Amino acid sequence: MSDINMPKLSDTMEEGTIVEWKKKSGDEVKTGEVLAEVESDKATFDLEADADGVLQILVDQGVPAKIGAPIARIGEAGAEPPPQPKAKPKEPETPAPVAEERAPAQKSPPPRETPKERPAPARQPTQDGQQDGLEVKASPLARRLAEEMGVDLASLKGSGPEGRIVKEDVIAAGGSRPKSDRRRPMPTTERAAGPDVEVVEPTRMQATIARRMAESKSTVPEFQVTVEARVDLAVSLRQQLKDSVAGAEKVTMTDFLVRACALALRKFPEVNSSWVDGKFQRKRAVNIGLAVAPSQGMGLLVPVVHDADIKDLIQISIESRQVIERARSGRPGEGDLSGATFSISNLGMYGVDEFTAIINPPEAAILAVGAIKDVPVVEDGRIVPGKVMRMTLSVDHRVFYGATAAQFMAEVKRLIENPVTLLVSGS
Amino acid sequence: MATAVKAEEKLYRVALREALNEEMERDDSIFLIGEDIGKFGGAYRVTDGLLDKYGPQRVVDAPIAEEAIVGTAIGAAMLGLRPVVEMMTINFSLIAYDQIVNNAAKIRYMFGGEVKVPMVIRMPGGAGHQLSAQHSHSFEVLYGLIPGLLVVAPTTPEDAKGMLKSAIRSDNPVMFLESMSLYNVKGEVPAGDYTTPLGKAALRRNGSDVTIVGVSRMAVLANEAAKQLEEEDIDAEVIDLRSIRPIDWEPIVDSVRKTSRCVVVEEGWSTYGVTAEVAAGVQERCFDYLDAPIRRLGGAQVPMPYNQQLERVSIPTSEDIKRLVRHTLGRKPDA
Repeated sequence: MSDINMPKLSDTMEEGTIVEWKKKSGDEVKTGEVLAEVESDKATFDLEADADGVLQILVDQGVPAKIGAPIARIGEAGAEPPPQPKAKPKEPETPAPVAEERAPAQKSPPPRETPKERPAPARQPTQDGQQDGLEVKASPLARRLAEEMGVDLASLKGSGPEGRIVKEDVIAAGGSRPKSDRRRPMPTTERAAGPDVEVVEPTRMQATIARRMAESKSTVPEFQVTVEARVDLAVSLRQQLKDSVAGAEKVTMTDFLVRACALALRKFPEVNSSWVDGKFQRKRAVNIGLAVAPSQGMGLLVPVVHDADIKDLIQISIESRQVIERARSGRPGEGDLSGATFSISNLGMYGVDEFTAIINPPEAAILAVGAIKDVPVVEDGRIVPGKVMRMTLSVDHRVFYGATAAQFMAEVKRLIENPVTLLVSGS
Repeated sequence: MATAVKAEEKLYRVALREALNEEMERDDSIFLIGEDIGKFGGAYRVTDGLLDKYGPQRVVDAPIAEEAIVGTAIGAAMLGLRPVVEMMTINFSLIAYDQIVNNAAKIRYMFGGEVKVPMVIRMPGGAGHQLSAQHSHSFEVLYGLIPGLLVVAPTTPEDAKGMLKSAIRSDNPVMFLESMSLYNVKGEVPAGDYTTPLGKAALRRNGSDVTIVGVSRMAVLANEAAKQLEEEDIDAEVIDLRSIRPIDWEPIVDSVRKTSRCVVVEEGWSTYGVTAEVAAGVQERCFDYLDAPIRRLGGAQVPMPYNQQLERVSIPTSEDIKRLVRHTLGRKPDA
């Protein structure tokens, strides 16, 4: 058994402090192994074992000890752990973090909690390799990196001062990561395995849509005009129709819009036109396309209600439902998907407030319709509840111009706001 | 292109004298006051020749009465002059501490800004000359803790001249801490008029492994240590604190965020020292970047011994710095 005393590390040193025990009581140590880091008045030094055996720590870290005072003991390897000196009178010098003056007054003190290690059998590493009850020692930087990289600190062995886990250890364990990524949080859920990007073949319809939309955006000089219409009357009229008119049970707001647009298009033939080969083409027929989603898969269908201007609202309602169903069923009739001179896209049922649609050439315009919303409106200087709907017309500026667009929208607005006009012919 | 200013190698003390001379030529409200600064030319020969040139009105040999010297200077400064006091050493400034702390530092504040104290107190400090316990202090911290004072410690002849000019032109009291051990150090000094800003640290050496912040002469030793550590494949960055009050955090923080490790060195006692302040500030600003505890190195916590050998081991050396740097990097302290 050999005592380890506080060494004199410099000429001016009177006492030293164990900054850090690198071994624990009960650890087997070999001669020359670093046991602790000791701090003197000038610097810090490593304290090495001068014998082989089992270490017993007498002075806790952070507690100063005078030069020559015993701070640890190395016992015989393999022997029973030495009995823990339980505040025996033989060891009154054991420095403890109490004022020195009090030492002489102590006579068989009550079993005060000693700052020592727990009684033998000395601790052993637990299964997970972590020292029982002890925090893993790691630098703040290493901790941060470990968290960001998902590295378990307890599984690492530190290479820093006093065996501390440092940045390099974490990076070695977790693979390198560019510094700029440091702050990026790790995703909290596991991502399914697979390639980062999956390549999907488009259907023919999707390929056509892609080509035509790109063509539209790159060749059609477009602008938009938006109006907001009061639709209280249209809403109540629709309800009346559904309740009391045979064949109108399924009339929709879109049907109202088809009728309104058809009437407006007849009034503004410039809108019912195309720009083809440097000339205007005025269309005699008013055929209105309805942008709808297919019943399954991704895509876009535009079934067409032909001659909408000469059909009444009930006819339009029945016909549009039929043509949409045929298109969605994949068995469209002849002309069901062609010949449109104007289109309507209504996303109101999805709660969209307003949006702009892309013109489907050679048509000259498309109407984008938002949801009906209950809002406070000012009526004769009073605020009253009202229902409004916003509509945005995308216009091919080659075919007609802002004033026409505005007048056209004003007409659509007038018709929708006065829905009785949609019920009579020739309004 | 402007005329290139040719830098010439000069002694630290000569650089200081040039600053005094050029400033006195420029502004006749500047006067010098101190013990033995006139006929004798100053205990460290900084003011040599200035009495002959400017006369006893502007180079005042004062009695051995530090409190009166500083009090006189404060009064003169309040009334529009720009005194430059020489304390023979920082050790004697304790006698004038009340004047400095209670008057120089506070008058501008207590008079609502209506009077200023544009005053410089030059004072050499440091140990290493067997001047024993009472005359070997490094008192940076005594002045560094006083709001109202600017405290600087130049370590190169170039900074000595440039910072003394800035100090003289400052409208606030500046504690200008010179180092006895640096008076005979030579270094390049640009010719003619230039100023070096107060309140700024200087990056002396680029490195990636550890940041060494040196206070006063310890910045010079830190540089030496860093050079020697190169052979051990340790790439140390060195920052010369230069300004003790205020501390220029930006370059220190930038550096520690880069290196993740920091060692701070001063000649004075590190307990409650400048190093304590720097370490605390770095910890607050860089905690998540630190890969090792911040380490401090200071002088032995004893009254400075007269015995030469004891004095030698009481002052931090470049070897001590190297040992601490190695330790911070997880290497064996003794190479």
